[in-house]
Amino acid sequence: MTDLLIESTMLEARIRTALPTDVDYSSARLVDERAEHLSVRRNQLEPMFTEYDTGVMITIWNGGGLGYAATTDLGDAGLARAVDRARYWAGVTAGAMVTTAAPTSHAVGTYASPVEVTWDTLPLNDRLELLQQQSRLLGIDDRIVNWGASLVRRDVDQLLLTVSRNGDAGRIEQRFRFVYPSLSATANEGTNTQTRTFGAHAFCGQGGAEVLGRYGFGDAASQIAEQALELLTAPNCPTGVMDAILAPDQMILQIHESIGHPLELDRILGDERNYAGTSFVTPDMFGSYQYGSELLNVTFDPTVPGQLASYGFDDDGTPAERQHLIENGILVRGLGGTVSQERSGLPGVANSRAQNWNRPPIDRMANLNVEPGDSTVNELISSIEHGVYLHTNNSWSIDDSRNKFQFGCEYARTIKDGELGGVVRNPNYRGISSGFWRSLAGVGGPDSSVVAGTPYCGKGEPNQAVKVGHATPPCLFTAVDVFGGA
Amino acid sequence: MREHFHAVAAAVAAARRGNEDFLANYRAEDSTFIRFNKSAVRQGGHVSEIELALTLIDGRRAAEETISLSGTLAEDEARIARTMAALRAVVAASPEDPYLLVAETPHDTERTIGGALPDPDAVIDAVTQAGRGHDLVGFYAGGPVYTGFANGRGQRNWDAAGAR
Repeated sequence: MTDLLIESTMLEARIRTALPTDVDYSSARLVDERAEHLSVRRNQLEPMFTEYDTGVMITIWNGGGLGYAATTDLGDAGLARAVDRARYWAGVTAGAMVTTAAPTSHAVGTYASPVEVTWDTLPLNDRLELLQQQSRLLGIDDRIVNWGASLVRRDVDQLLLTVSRNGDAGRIEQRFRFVYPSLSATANEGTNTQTRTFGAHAFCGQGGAEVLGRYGFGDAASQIAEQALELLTAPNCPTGVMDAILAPDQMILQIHESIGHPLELDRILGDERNYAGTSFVTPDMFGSYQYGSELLNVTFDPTVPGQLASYGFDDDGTPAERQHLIENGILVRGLGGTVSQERSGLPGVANSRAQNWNRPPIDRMANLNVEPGDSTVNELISSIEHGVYLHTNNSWSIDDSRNKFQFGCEYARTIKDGELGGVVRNPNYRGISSGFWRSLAGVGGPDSSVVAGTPYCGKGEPNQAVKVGHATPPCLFTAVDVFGGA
Repeated sequence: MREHFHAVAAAVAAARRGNEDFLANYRAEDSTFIRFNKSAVRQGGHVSEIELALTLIDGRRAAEETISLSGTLAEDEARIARTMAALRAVVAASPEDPYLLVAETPHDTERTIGGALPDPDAVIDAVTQAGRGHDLVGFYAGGPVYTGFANGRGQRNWDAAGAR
């Protein structure tokens, strides 16, 4: 790894100098990203891959126009060109903008991911041997036809400098450290193919090497390999209306698609109709709409230590804090940054976020969590006469307004008369967001809650993939339309 | 941009040692992005970006690194030198890759598609006027896109679309 760019006082001074002070507001968002990808497939190490991605986005707000210009050229001439372009854009958009609301924060502060064991203290050979060990634990049977183990370490340093015509200035420095462990095992027999996975779509977070232990990376390989084989001989999931418990690694998808996306204020305002879609939620619902049963409490919480989308400030520079979006089932707040809040007149959160230096911030989920209830997992199971316990998302389909959905899982067990039964394969369920959460009948307690997340939330034009966190316990839903797949 | 690509490829070739081979994928854009909602501009701006994905190969061992380039050759040559040194260390620590397959016969290509793209203010005027009285939502992306490939056997491929 090279010396950290964010620690270059010379670069910071040059960027600060480049920012114009004769406009209403200007900002520079420097992002320096470094990643290491290690992957073993079928016991063979794949070529190692590293990434260095560095650039800056200049944003200028002036006279009712807003423009941005992003560049990889951090030299004086490159910065000056970016400033000129952003200024040009602010000029040509003045009078043509859908809103005159603009970011105006001049916050000062820092954030750093909590790291217990620095990633580099785990030597490269040890990281590779760990992956080889996991790979050998996955390829345990001739019927396991494909398997793999991977580790991604991603470091992101971000510096946001702001200045206004009146001399106000801000500086926010944030240092993120992410680890994504991942495992998969695919078993095949005849025309039946089953895959079990662990990791990067759920169990990843901020931190160092301790993230691996946090999610039980070292213990997962044998379990998912055995479960992939188990699924080969399991019967198809039963079809019918029944109760369902969603495990945390399925709950994160349920929260994401049918609470997170519909509550994004820019969707509600129509910005995303050309691409990501709209929302069944309308502005008049905030403050009164019964989104779920009274057991449903959902928070926007960027303060959870180690969760994937924890941060101190969003990319408009707004300080981030924990807020309830849904309280005792009632919708109280949307997912929208300062600009969307001003446009809509609705309460929001600090969630104006960009994928990288080359994309402008838009309303995104961050950590969107279902607050724990007071049931044990055994109590959830024992309350069910006829149902299923669904684990690990593997497919999702939901309409443009994020209302009618159909989701599939990798693995499930039946529940009969309060007892866990046998394993079933190809489990799926469908529902309608606006009614589904009202069927929430049980929420696991704090001990069963898992702090999870995914690096792959997509939205915006040009597309932006951002990291989002979802902490959740297992949850029980009644009268769910469950069906077995082909 | 074409000259920058060839200079970058030459810098990579010059940084080789012994029997090292390389694959270099060069990607650049100079893009205009405008998002519209309600027949007005939601966001508009410009992205200027150059990226190099460099794979160093020594025998049957290989490793890849992707870096951002500034467009200023002296600075980019220094980045390439650092990347080659880092890759050399990783390749040395890597096992042989039985699946490594490299094209051995150079095949050069070059294509440039020019174009007179409208200025952003003309795009904004045209779209907002056409959308007046309607609830228009949409997205405009324009600007040149450049793709280059080079390898250690002398192959060079260059494709530029929308270049002025």
